[in-house]
Amino acid sequence: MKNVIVACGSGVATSQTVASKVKRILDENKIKANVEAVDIKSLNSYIKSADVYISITKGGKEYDIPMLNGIAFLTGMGIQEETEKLIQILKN
Amino acid sequence: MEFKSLFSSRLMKLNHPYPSREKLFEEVAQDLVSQGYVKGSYQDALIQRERSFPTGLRTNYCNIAIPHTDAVHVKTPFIYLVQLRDELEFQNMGNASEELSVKLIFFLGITEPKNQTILLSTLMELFQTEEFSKIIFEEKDTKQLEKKLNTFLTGGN
Repeated sequence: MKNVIVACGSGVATSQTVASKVKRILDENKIKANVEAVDIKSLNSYIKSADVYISITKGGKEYDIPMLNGIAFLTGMGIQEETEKLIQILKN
Repeated sequence: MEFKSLFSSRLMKLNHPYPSREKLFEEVAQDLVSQGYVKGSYQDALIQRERSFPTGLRTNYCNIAIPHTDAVHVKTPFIYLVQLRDELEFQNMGNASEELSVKLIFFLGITEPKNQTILLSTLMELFQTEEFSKIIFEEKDTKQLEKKLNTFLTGGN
């Protein structure tokens, strides 16, 4: 199964909220994947096993896996586009 | 947590002037301490976290901010709403080099991150509707706003 990670500052509010939203979207689209919310400090240890990284803050480190805009999943602005990208990545 | 009591008139400041973000954080933190929602350590932790990880957000109808900090500083979950009289600048969560002028602040008190995502996700979903954004932007009476918001949350029941 593919792994999706969501990271924010402390893993308290934003990443958890985005992760639960993403889980719901994947369920609705009948796509199975692990979705994990982590805090940014432990990101490095999770990124190795991840297939896609949903990031909340811009300007962080670049990784060699696809990165999506987490704010879209939070506020709903631009969510359609990010959802399509996510589904594409997970289906491949 | 009880859904219909997510918003309380005791946890609101409407049309309130704050000269700066620091003053706003200080006064809200003190109010939350005196009402028993947070520990004394909350204020510094909150300010520190906003500095490292800003919480300004653009939504469909207005800019908001959702300051919060680690669960260890919070005793009881809450949403503390501030409708500013004069806008204050918050950095954008998604792009810290951008300043957003914000009028509505939601201080989120979270004690169990995994189980309380409903707090923020509900708030964000509500902000995608014009009606909700308008109510919260314009209402000046805390009792009235408490009633309207909680009606909204329970789907009109």
